Amino acid sequence: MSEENPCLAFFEKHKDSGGNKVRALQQEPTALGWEKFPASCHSPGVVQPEESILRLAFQPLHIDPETRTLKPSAVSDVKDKGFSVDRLKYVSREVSIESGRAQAEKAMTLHGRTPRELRAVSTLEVAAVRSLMINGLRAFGVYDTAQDDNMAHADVCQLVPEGQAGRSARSQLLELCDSCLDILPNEGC
Amino acid sequence: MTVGLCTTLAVIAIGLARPPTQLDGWMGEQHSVAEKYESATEDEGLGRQVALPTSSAGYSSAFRVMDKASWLQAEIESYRHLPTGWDGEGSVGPSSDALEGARKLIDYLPAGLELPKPMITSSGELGFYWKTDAYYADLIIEEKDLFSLFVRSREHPNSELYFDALLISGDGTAKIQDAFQQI
Repeated sequence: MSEENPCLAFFEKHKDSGGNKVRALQQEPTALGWEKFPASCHSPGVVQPEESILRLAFQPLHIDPETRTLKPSAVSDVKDKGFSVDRLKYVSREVSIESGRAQAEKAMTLHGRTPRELRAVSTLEVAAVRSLMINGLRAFGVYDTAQDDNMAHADVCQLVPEGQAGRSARSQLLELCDSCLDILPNEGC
Repeated sequence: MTVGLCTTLAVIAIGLARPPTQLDGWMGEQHSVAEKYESATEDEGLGRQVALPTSSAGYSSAFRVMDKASWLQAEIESYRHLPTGWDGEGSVGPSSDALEGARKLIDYLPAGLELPKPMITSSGELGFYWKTDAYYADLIIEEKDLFSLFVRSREHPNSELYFDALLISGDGTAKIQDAFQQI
């Protein structure tokens, strides 16, 4: 692990780890402090508490059409591959939404019958995500994981282990996302 | 006296013979979920059947007419056909063990408890959840025969319960019932 930037070294090492990335992060005793380091060589700067981040939610499987709220599965990425968000300091809400729609259309082409559609967004305050606690410990870290084609990209990662702590943490994150959920109008309407 | 005893025994026998399904509907009510939906929709011109939304996976025909438990079974079954990549890069469909466990668990949900809603995560994990004004709860199928349960009170956010490695069986049913009563 690089002594200069252990965060960058970790995220570079685990960029292709998929579902194991967050579990590996939870094993790192200093992971919380890594929020102060860039996690990508494309970084525009570390994620500040006063920033806003946008999370995209796709229908049909992560939004309950009856209540128009998120299903718990909408935040499950936070425990394994990382909960992708866009930093609104570096990309506009509109561009982020357009990009999400393009991503869903691409998936439809690739996987044929997958009925995936961007239907809602949550705008979260970084400070609010970082304030979620479990037994006096920070539940989530927000890391600057900029990508070569999206420098606004960041990841929210669960820092508490699975079991009761993890479930409790995600239920709080879900509540936070639901509290600022904005259902988007159907495209073309 | 004898007639009274026979009647009592007959009532107990009928109660014991009934499978442990959830069809009693909402807690504290005497009617089944199907009956509840039937009566709720009669005024809307739907007769004695209920129109439920199409499967969220999008593979069932729109507005099938069925009771809520059957809809839940159908919804879980629809997840079987999710292809790799259904939820973006790295996402997968459920394993057959998870599907079997989820379908079995529906039959073991406690009578009298509101039926949950189904969910699937991008890693193929299957589960159910409840979101009400009083509590939040989620239930995850861990293996074919095991599940875990998390329940948190909304009125008292520090009041929460977690049970791991519960057997999908009558014992699991009792544990779910206990958890909801405690919270």
